Amino acid sequence: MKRNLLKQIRNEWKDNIWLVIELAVVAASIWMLVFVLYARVKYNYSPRGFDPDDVYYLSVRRIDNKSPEYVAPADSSDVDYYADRKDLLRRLRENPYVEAVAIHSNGLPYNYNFSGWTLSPFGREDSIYYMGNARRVSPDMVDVLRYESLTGLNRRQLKAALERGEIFISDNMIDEDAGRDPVDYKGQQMIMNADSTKIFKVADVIRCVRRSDYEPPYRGTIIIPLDEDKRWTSEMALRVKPGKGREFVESFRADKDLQRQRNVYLTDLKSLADIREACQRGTDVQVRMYFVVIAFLLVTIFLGLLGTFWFRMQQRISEIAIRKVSGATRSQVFRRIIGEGMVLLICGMLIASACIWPLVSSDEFGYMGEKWYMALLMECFTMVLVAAGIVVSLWYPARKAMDIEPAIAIKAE
Amino acid sequence: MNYIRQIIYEMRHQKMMTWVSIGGTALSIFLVMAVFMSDEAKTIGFAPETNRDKILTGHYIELRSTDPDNHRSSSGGASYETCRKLYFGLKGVERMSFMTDWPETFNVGIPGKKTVPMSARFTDEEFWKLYDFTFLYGKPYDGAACDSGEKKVVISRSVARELFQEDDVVGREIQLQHVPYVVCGVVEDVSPLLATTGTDLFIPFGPDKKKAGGYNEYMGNVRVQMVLKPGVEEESVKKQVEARYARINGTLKEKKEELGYHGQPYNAEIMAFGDYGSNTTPDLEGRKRNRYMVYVVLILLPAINLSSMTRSRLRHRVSEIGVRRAFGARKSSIIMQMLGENFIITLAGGVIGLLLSFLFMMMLYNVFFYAKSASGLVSDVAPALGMLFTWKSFLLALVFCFVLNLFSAFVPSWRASRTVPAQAIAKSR
Repeated sequence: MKRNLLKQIRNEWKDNIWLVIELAVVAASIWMLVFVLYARVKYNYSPRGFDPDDVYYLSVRRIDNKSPEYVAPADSSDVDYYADRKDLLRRLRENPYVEAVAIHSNGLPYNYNFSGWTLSPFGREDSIYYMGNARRVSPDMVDVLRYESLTGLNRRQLKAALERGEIFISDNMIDEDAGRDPVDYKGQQMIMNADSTKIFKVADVIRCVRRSDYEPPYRGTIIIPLDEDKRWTSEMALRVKPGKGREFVESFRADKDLQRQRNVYLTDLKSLADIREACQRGTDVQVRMYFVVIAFLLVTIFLGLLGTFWFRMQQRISEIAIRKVSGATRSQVFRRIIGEGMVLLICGMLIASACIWPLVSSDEFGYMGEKWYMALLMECFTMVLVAAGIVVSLWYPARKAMDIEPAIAIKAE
Repeated sequence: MNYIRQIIYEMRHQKMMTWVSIGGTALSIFLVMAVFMSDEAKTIGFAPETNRDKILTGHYIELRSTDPDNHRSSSGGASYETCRKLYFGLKGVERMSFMTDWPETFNVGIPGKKTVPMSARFTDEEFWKLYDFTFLYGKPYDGAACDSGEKKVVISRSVARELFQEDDVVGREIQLQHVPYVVCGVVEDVSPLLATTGTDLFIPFGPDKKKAGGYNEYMGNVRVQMVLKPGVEEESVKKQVEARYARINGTLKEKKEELGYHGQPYNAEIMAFGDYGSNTTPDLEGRKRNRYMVYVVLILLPAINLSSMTRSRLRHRVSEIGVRRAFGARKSSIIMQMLGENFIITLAGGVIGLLLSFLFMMMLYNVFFYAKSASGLVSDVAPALGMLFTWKSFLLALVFCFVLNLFSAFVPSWRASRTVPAQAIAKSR
């Protein structure tokens, strides 16, 4: 039976060669599209290193001295500013809907600023260094973003480390590719930006706080403590109790005391979810478009296969009739038709592989930053997808062809 | 006329084939046109950004260490001073405007009433000459207002309605972050799809705002947009900017620092498709290649599918072709007839596909666009027909149909034309 099938395929090679080329182009295109889509969305489903739910952003500003609302300060230095900001922080912490509040500079994800700082191990002469996006935060940011320790420290321990003036670093792809483990730096004194007057102890290694959900953790994160009493910054972040976002926003907008202390006021309240939406909208739209294009393309391909196999079946009505007359059951005939489709698909996949593998493994594509077996996995997925399309496309024309009485089918011939 | 009759006969005779052929063609033209229109809408000039395709943008800065022992680098928005040093007074620039790079959210209200968060952009007076806003009431602020940081504001119609429940509010006072401002103009709402002008409020870019900095003296939140004089090449402007980068880097040498030049200023195409950050150089060629590859895949795949069907269809007509050849028909005339017949079917599918793509883009625009303003005050705005339908898109649909037809029907027609008359007639018997 199998030998006969191969013989028949060989005998009809002129027709089959076109179908094999068609299947090869279809498979190669779907394979590439699926692979590109996978590489694009992969990190969206990877651990983020923080919990973005129930987090809000606030901007800290000073009232312009041209404003009629400006209050002449008792002290012209920044002392008033820090005292007033501290008052606002206290009030926010007392709000029944708020869980934690922190000040920060470049502390929140979903912005594309990159403050690249370097850390070199103190007392070592080698040229190895750690580089990351410096995020300066007050200790409560541990509770606001819920950093994830990679060495098992809990949030209380992480917070205590920041209060001691120690820093965190994170995992990242550069170190991973170089075979270095950032955990080896834990407990070490590090010189910051080659300035030997700035030495920090690495308290822990956390999961990288990426700039967006789609961005891979190429470079790490450096969490640097920020003193609420001394450091000027215009950014604040807070976590509300689970599901209490709406109540907090309403209470904030209604409570003038929560918004302002003399010339310092809080504004620009927005959820991290909204910031994320604004930051990633270009990529979100692109990914959505990929999905739509692939879905419609599959429908188009399915229509094409349906049309092709429709004609193929029509030409083979008499052959099917002869098989039925010779005692073949419907399922045997159907299996043979499907078997033929699968053999042609395998031939198509071989051609597609010969074209695509050199391309995806080239220096330019480099498996799109993935491991080689992901390309293979995508190829298998493509094969299953096209095979399903062939089965569906064959099912209806084959059934119609089998429904014709053998006598009528042969008579027509 | 015979073509049409024959096509109608074929369509009646092979209903399944007809639906599959027209449906497949319609879907492929729909898909490629939808992708093309969504790309075009990101760069096409449309009021008030009528000049969008001619505007160059300079923003972002990267300050990095050149010390081999210190790999520090900071990147993000540029400061006003940096933008001025890099872009002001370039040769070949007709018009130039400084503004804040990304909109800021301001609490806006009228005294004694609740405040509403809105998006605001600080701009200089040139901004109003660069873009053709429709002023419903009042007029834009002038250079004097910008120089003195006068508390004037231009608002959109939606803002006027949100705050005052009426449109003509010129001369009225609103509070922005506790500071009173006077409304000097009300402009028509702008589609959120136009990123630079789709903002709720516009405020004079005064001296205080210009001084605002970032992590270092080079960083801030300012962008510069410019239109070149007719005939001036982008490259000549880029070369001048690159030279200015080099000049600044000369002064930074001692500090072992440099500014990374990443091919600025950028045109609309780079802004839309460059996929760049503040510390990376846009790879427009790579992106273009990817886009063209997508178009090719979207046309080639259905073409190959349709080609199989055309080949099968022509096999049914092998005896007819044999008779024609026997009566002296040339191979070329057979090919032309087959291509012509197929083109009419392709065109029918193409028209359906083009209409479908318009409908899709108008009704399900959220799939391909982010149709919400920064503040959310203007949301769910479908792209205007003018952003989607251009003669270019219509012609391109026609070209796509032609290419699809050629790809799908040429080889089968060519093979059919090589039919040996005697064999063909014998086979059919």
